[in-house]
Formats: sequence, structure tokens, C-alpha cells
Amino acid sequence: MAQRGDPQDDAGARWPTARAIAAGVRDGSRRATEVLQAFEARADATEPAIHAYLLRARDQARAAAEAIDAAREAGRPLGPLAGVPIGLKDIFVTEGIETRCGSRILEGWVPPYAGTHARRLAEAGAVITGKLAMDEFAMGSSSQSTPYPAVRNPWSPEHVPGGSSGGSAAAVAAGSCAAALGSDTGGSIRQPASLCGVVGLKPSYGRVSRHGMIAFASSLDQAGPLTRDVRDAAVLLQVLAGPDPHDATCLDAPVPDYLAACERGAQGLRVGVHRAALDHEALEPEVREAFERSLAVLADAGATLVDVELPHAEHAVATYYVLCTAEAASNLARYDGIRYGHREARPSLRQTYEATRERGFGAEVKRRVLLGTFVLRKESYAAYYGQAQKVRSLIVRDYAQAFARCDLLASPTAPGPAFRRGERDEDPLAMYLSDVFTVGANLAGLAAISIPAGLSHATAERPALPIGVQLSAPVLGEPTLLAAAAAHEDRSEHHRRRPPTAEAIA
Amino acid sequence: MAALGPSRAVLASATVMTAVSLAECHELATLARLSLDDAEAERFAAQLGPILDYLEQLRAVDTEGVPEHLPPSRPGSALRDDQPGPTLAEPLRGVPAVRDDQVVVPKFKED
Repeated sequence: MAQRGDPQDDAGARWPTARAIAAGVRDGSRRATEVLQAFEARADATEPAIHAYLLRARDQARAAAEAIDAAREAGRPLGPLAGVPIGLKDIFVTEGIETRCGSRILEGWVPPYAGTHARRLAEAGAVITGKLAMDEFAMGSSSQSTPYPAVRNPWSPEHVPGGSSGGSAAAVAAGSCAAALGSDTGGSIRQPASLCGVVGLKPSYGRVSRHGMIAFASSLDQAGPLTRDVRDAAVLLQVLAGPDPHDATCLDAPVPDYLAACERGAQGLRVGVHRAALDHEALEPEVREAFERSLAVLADAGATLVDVELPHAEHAVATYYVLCTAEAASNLARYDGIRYGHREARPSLRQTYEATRERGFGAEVKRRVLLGTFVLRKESYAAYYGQAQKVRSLIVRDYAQAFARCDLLASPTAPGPAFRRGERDEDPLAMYLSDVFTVGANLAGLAAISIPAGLSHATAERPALPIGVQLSAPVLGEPTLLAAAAAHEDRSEHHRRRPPTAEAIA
Repeated sequence: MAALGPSRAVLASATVMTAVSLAECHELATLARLSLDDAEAERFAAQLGPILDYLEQLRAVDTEGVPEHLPPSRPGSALRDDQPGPTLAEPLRGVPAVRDDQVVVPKFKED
């Protein structure tokens, strides 16, 4: 039973989409301040169990919602996200709101500027609810690698929400914001979306600006939305996409109508499947079954299935971990206690650097900085970094050859549903290997999306947990990607399933 | 072999294991400006070995004649118009120690 104050859409159903909220605020049937209150009440109820938020920006959110209502009363035009409560992963720079990237080393840093994401969302009328929890510096697949309270999966608090955008996925799944922003370097939007049963879209590299998104691995990082359904993801992408003078790597390409693309259907699309990848030993049978069912759904929608080969895919995880750690070691050199956040004051500059970084970084960040330093040092550069760059070139070519035969690629998003908290904390390699289906899209700069594909069967060991399926498209292939994802969604009910924890709390 | 990289069982039975010594771990930490205590260094040394073993697979890939960088798919201009940015005071607001509009740094030159 929905309670008073619970977010509802016009049809009386709970969990309204961002589109329904914005339409209601624009036509005057909802007030932004009331929408915000309803979501805040849900966050009050869910947060003690879920810990999706690192910081709730209540005052700023209220001011933004009041400004939207005032604009509506004054007859001024409202944007496509008018009054929509949206949470931002703490990796996004927000003016006047503390931004830590989930790390002690940035504690206390209140940015003097807004990044492109926060600015464009605000200009579109969004109400920023706060900063969502994450693995420190986006390094992890569980959102447990953090000095702050670890995020729980709304479907089962004993299981991880995935990562690194675990707070974003958990908040959308728990209904404590209408949509969220995440970042994806090796699967950090798609994997948590899969584990929490929501939609997660990683746009093509450069489709969305990286200005104001704290850098982890600059050749792989991309920002994107986590939403309740595919069309909401299209609406958010519409607002975020497009050239940005503050990011020279942002693509200077026209932005098509993504919401219209969702209505194109999957008729005639060729969907490629790399069958050999499905023999991966870590792939759980239930995930494979859900994937095969999703292929049948796409075929039912008029898509043609074709087999493709990706000969170097088996080396994608190794390639990714050489390159991302090398880039991280370089990017994180800027956290030296001198210019941002926290400083451990010591007599000499060198001691200040070392003490600040020793105290400020957590174990996984240090591990990756050490690994990145190893692969970049003179003695190992050619064998590790240089070789990984060449293998990356081969992987890019593999995808180009595959996309000559198909319009999209389909695969599972993650090898299994959510794993138990603490299960992989002391086994970093096991954590890395679970990125097997997602890192390829980052290495090749592809657009990719994870959409809900069902639930696992409840057993004595674990309750029913969400499973996701991933679709990938060539660079700037977002319209095709969204068309197929929406066609899949239109033929399934998976995205309407709600976590039992959130239901119990509500 | 599994379709997506050597399995852990294969790794465990591999004869060549990459060992990272405690001294090597401290050396990497020095390069990265991290000061690790011995317990931390020991733990990282033990964890880096299996990760480096896993990365070894890349050496076997034939990359003869393959470039390290592919040309960007969509070259564009990285230039932008000059526009006044924030004043000095704004970026300095996030700096841990400031005096007279300048960043305070510890002594970095030996006497």
C-alpha cells in the first residue's frame, strides 16, 4: 500500500519516472517542493539501512525546488527535468557542496565551481538531492572500498550494490531519488545497475563531458545516468550530451533526439553475440538463462541474432587493469596535501606528501597506485603499459570487425547477481575478474547499457536478486542502443520489480 | 582455458610466479610518494604477485606491427575562446593553507 507522501505518478502507481515528474511540474499538477518532500521522506526511511547518500544537500535542494515552483508561477518556461530529484555520485564536482570522491584525502573540499554535469542538470530544472556514496576514487565493484558507511543492496542488505556507482544504483532502486548520475571507467555504471535492478547507461567516450568529474583513468572515464527505465536514461542523456569547451576530448558531434530513438523499435536490427564468452567459468547458469531469454525477447521484437568473434576479448580485463592503474597513478599524483582537501602537515614537502597520501588513501587506491607505478616504471613500461596499449588497439579493431556484421552486441552485464558483503574484500583479483563483460566497452569507447533482465531464484543462501543484460553499440550509436533497450523493456516487466527492503520500509 | 582469460586454477598451477619483494614494494611506494608501514607493505607485496601473474598473459599476445595508439576517430578542435575565469580567491578557497593569496607549502630545499 502506498502511503501518503510516497512518490506517486499520475496513474496512482508508486515510483514515478523522471518524465512523469517533470511533466507534472510543468503542467502544474505537481509542485517541485512537494515532489522533493516525498523523496526526502523516502530517503529518511531507507537511508538508515541502505547508506546510498554520502551527503544530503537538503538546503540547496529545497532552494532549487522553490525556485522551480516560483518560475512556474511566474510563467517562465521550465526545462525537461523540472523538479526531478536527482542524486549525483560524489565524483561530480558541485559548487558549494562538499565533494570527496569517496576519499578522506578530499575531506572538507567545497568546490568553487560546478562541473558541466551539475550545471546542465540544474539548467534543465533538476533538483540535486545530494552526493551518492561510491568506492573511493571509483576504484571497486562493490561500494565497500570506502572509509565511510558502505552501501547496501536494497534487494538484500547483506549483499553489495555493486560499484563503483553503488550509491547511485541503490538510491534509484530504493526510491530515494528519481534518477542518479554515475561514472563508468570499467563498468561502474552498468554493473551496479545490473546488481540493483535498474537501468545504467554508459555513453560513448566523449559523448558527455568529463569536466568536473574527478579523474580516475582519463582515456576510459565517462559519465552517465542510472534510471528506473530506458526512456528516463534517454531524457538525462539528452541534457548531458554535447560538446563542452571545458573538455577537449568531448565529441563535437550533433546530439540527436534520444527519446524519439526509443520509439524506433528493434525491427531489422542485427544483434551480435560472442558465444565463446558465455563459456566463462564465473558465469552463473541463472545469468546465462536470463541472457538467453533476453535474446529471445529481442528476436521477438524483430531483431536478428548473429554470432560474432572478438578474438582478443579474453585479454580485456588484463589490458584494462594495466591501463587504468597506470592512468590512476598519474591522475592521483595531484593529491599531495598542497592544493585540495586534507593536509597532514610535516616539516618537509616530501614528508607532507607521503603522510597526506598515507593517511588520505584507502587500501584499494594504494594498491592501484602501486600497480600503476609498477607498470609505468622504466623497467616494465614496454612489457606492461606499452604492450597493453597495443592489445587495446587489437581489441578496438576486433569491435570494428564485429560491428561490420551487426548493429549491437549483447552479453550479460555481470557474471553473477550481487555477491555477499565482505566476500571479495581480501581477494582483489577476484573482484577485478568480475569486470569481464564490461571493460571492453571502455577500452573501445563504445556506448553500452545495462537493463534489468529478471531475478535469480531465491535459495537458502540468498534471496532473489536482480540480473542485468548489456547491449553495446559503436561510438555514437546511442540511438540504436536506446531503440533496442526500449524494445526489450516494452516486452518485459523486469524494470517494474521493486526491492522487498524498500517495500518493507515504505 | 576459459574463453575469457586464464582461470585461477590455471594461474595457481603456473610454474612462473611473479614475486614482489618487500623491498620492491617499498621502492614502488617511494616512487608513488606513499609511505607504507611494514605490515601494509607485506600485504600489498603478497597481493600484487597474483595480480601481476594474471597480467603476464599480455606478453603472449602477438602485437608485431600494432600501434600503441590508434588515431582518434573524430578529430576536433581543442581550442576555445578566451574568457575570463574565476578570480584568484575562488580556487584558493579549497586550498588547505593560504597566506597573502598564496599557497603555503612546507620547506622543500635542504639548508
